[in-house]
Amino acid sequence: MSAFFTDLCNFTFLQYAFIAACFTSICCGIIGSYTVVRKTTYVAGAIAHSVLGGMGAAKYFQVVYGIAWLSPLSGAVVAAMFAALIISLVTHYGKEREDTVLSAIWAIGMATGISFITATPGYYEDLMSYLFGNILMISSADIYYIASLDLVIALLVFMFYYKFLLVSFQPDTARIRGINTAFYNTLLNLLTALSVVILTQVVGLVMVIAMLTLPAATASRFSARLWRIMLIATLLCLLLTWGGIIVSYSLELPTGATIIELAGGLYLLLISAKFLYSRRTRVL
Amino acid sequence: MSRSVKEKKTEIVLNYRDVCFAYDQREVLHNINLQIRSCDMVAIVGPNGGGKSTLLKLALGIIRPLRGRVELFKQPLSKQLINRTGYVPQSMAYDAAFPVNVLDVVLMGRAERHLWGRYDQADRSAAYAALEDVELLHLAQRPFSQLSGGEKQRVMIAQALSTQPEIIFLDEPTANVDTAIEDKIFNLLARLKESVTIVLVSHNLNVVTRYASQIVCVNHVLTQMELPELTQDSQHTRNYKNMLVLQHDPSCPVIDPADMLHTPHREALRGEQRD
Repeated sequence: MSAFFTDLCNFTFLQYAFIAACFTSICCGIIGSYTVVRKTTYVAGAIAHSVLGGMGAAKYFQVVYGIAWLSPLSGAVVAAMFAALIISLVTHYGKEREDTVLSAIWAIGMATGISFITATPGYYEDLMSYLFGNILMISSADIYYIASLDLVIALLVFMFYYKFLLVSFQPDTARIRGINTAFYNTLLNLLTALSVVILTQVVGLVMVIAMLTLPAATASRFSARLWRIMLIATLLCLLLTWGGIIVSYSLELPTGATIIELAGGLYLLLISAKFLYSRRTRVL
Repeated sequence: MSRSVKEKKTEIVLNYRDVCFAYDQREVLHNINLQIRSCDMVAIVGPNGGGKSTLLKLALGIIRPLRGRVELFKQPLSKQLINRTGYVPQSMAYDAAFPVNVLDVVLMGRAERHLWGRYDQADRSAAYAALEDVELLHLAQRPFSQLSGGEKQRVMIAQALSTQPEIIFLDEPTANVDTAIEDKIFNLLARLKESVTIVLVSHNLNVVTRYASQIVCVNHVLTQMELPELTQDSQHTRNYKNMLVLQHDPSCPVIDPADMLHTPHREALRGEQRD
């Protein structure tokens, strides 16, 4: 453990990882809480997997056609926003079953991503970091990018908190009262898309769902008001990410997986403790 | 609230004029003419699929009539009128475990007044006043998920009241509560009737006849019919003034809605244009 802290002082990549954890925790806590209370985990999952398509395509055009500014991160943002828009349109105006559309986006995103990555010469190893993330590879440019996306998320949620609350809690009543539920739901889906992109950098697209649900679900056990759940989830997310970096670095394990294991362990521990406690106090 | 109750009594708040409505090809409502006056408590009853929810949806502007028109406060339905109406959803229309407290839920009734940002002092005082009306002021900070079914429904009524409406629509307000709580909710509504017009949809004719000042029975068609004066010994009759009930009673002819659907549209007879 002490070896870790001497390394932390010496290596900038570890310092970057710690700073990045602060910013990813903010969107993880805020948007994770919305994902849990709106029960839209599968929307987040579909967006996450569509991100691979965007990353793969961006990398392909960057390498093959030499378009330098087209980074995988910007490809990811475009793909995630596009997927979020399609999902919102289908939910509000489409006659198609939402579940089917989510699965289609999920699979098509993965498929195009893998095709593009295979077609890109010599970048096969990138696939692993897209799928499972690597917070230790984050650059200072990535941190600025993540921080600015965070700012957008925090600002919009601050502005529309009460509208989001009503639209999530009573969508039918909101519509009857003349509130444009389609607009606010689309906005929330777009913010989810931005968060998915941010979190993909840390835990990879496969495990994004865990990051968006576990800390918020754990936090919801401690409070019955949404903004408090957001604060607690943000704090939990920060501690779990830092803990994950420390543990994985010391034991030479993959960071993203370790963070998820810690988050999952905490959540399971909490619900089993609650279950045992309620059994003890039950009369019959 | 400056005008006297008596003066308000004469006003028609909600007016259905020759309204027809069909989902796809199936006509649900046919030639509906109904006037609801201020400070009345009107219960819409009828069989499932008879069109009582549709009648409510037409007044709320969720759907538009195929023929005829619906007027609220003597004006055609519009977004500007929303602030003058309140709506209480069915008790299963929301996630009961959602992390909000009672005050949050009541304040949601005023969410459409602000484009963005927080609630102001006027919103909060309206919310507290509404909670006082439903006698739940002491639970303002309580998590919504910890309330009983009846309390949840009263919070929803407070939410509708927080908009300071002139008319409240309730969709099956007591669908999932027991009789004692049902009575309590109807007592509350009977009290609110002094200042607000109440329109509710209900399955339960029994409880509704005790409290409502007017009962509208809808089964595709709606026929206005004077019932014979009810005997005084029935304790359920004290509020009858104007009743539109179709019941299978030997003294009343039974009207077959299927036959009634074939009568020509009144508007068409008059040669009016549909809007």
